[in-house]
Amino acid sequence: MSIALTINAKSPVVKYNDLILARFINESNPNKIQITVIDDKANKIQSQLELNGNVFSDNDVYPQLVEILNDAKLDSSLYELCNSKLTLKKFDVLNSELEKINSHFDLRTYYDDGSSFNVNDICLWGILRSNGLMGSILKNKVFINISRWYSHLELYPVLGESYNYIQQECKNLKTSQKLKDAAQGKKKEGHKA
Amino acid sequence: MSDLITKFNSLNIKSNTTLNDEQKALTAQWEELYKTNTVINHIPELNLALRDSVYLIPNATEISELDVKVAEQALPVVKSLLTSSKDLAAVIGSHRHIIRFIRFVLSKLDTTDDVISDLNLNVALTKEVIE
Repeated sequence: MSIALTINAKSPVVKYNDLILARFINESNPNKIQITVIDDKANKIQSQLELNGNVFSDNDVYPQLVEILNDAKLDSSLYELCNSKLTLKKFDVLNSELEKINSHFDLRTYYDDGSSFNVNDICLWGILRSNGLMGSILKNKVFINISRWYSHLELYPVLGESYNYIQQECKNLKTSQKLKDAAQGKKKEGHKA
Repeated sequence: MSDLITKFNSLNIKSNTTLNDEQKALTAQWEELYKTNTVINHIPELNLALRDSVYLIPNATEISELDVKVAEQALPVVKSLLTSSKDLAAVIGSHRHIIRFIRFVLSKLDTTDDVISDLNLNVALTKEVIE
C-alpha cells in the first residue's frame, strides 16, 4: 500500500495534526507513510494525502489518517470545531471556544478520558499549535486546564518536535535547491535595485 | 502492600527518564508525606501541584509509583468529601485536579472506584483563574 502525505509549511493553517498523526503511525510502522514538506506560498493546498490512487486534500486528510491508524474514533464535532473556529485569528471567537474546551478538561486528563492520548488529542493539539494566537494564551495560563494538557502532550517528541521537524525539512529543501542550482551552473541572484 | 501499588508493580512500568534536581526535590517531599501518612493533611497543596502537571513529578510522561502511593492516600479523603457534601459542584470545583488525577491513576491501573469513577464529568464548575 502506497501512502504519501504532503504538508505545506507556508499554508496559513499548517496542518500539524496531519503531520503528527502520520508520524505517530510511522512510529509503530516505520515508513508506512512517506512524508514530504513543501515550502510554497503559491500552492494553495494545506496538506494532501495520496492513498491507493486516491487523492485527499486539506480537511479530508485527517479522517483518512485516522482510518489508517484504526485505533480510536474521531469526534466529528471536535473535528468540525478544529477546522472552523479554532483556526481563526479572532480572540473573541477563540476565547469562547477555548472556555468550553477548558471546562471539558476540568476532570479529564485526555480528551476522551482515556489512559493515553489519541486521535482527538492529536487533532486538537495540532490545530492549536498552528494558531499564532495560542502562544501567549498558553504561556499566560488563561485556560489552566488547556495549558496543562498542551504542555503535557508537548513532552512527547511526536508532538513537541513537530515544529522543528517542519523547519528542518524546509532547511533541507533550500539546501538541496541550492545544490541543484549550483550543479546546473545557475548564479545566485544578486541584489535588484 | 496496597492493592493499587500491587497492581502498579504488576504492570512493570519502567521510567527511562533521569530526574532533575527539582523533580528529585518534589519526589522526596511527597515520598516523605506518604511515609508519614500525612498526604491527607496536604490536600490543597496536592490539588495545586496537579493544576499544572498531569503527574506528580513535573514533566513526567509516564505514571510512577509515587503517583499511585499519593493517589491511594488521597482517595479516601476525596471520597469522603464527595459523599458528605450537599454542594457537590463546589467540592468538585475546589478539588478538581486531585479528582482528575485519581481518576487518571485508576484508569492507568485499569481499575475503578464506585464514587470517583462514576462522577459526572460534565458537571458545571466555576472557571479557575490564576491571581
